[in-house]
Amino acid sequence: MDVFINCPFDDSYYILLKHMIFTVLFLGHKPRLALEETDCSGVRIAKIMSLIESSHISIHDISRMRASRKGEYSRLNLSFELGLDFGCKRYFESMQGKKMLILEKDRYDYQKSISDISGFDIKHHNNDSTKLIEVLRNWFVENQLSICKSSPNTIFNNYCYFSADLYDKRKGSGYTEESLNELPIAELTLEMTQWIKSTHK
Amino acid sequence: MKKSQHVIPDPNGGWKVIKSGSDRASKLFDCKAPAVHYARSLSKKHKTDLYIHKKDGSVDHRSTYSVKSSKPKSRRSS
Repeated sequence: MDVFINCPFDDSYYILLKHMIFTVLFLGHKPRLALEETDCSGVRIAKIMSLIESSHISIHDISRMRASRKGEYSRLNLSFELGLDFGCKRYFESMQGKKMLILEKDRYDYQKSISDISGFDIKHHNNDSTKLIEVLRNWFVENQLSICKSSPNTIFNNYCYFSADLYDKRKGSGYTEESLNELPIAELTLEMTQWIKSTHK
Repeated sequence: MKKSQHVIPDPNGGWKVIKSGSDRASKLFDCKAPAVHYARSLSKKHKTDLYIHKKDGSVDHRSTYSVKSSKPKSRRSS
């Protein structure tokens, strides 16, 4: 199933994002992000709405809504897209079975900024990849969206094996470590998809 | 093809040495350096590749001790 991922796209979140995409793929689903295409001719919000309307599962990480330094604007895109997704579930009959997972950094942070979502399934990851993988894996299994028997630990081990294979494959093609770490999300997702398919038949 | 050795972070803290594709670690360590030392000795003994990972799971360093190469080749990521 398509899984709409609404999360920050900045450098400090890139590692968590890679682990999130890998975990979603490992659990047998297809991550869908606004970043998957960078065609400038489309209106961004239209693309996001299309992803929301076609995904029966969604993950919203609102952990970066809080400004990190004095004077910084708060980020409203994350909560805006969460609102759009909630509206989609609420007002489209075909989407009423939509499953939504909301992530935050620290437990109960959301109550200080967006208390209207009390009662939603809200999990925290402490900005820690291991915790994030565990939260994702357990949520998908609890909600019967995956029959994955692998532990979070096994998923992380597999991420490491994937990284090693990608390292060998790309280093042989002249990639530097820097360019390897900056692979576009769409390309990285494709590599992960192919790797999981070939190693977990 | 022989399975490579990996030094990867353990979710409960510390570092583990694990064979490619395996779920069970060969050995757990509190720190990375002794884990690397142990993994290197295994790789030399079994003539396999060795991947040392960063905390995020990406590759920090790779050494090969496989039969094809006469000398161990090392590649470190910048």
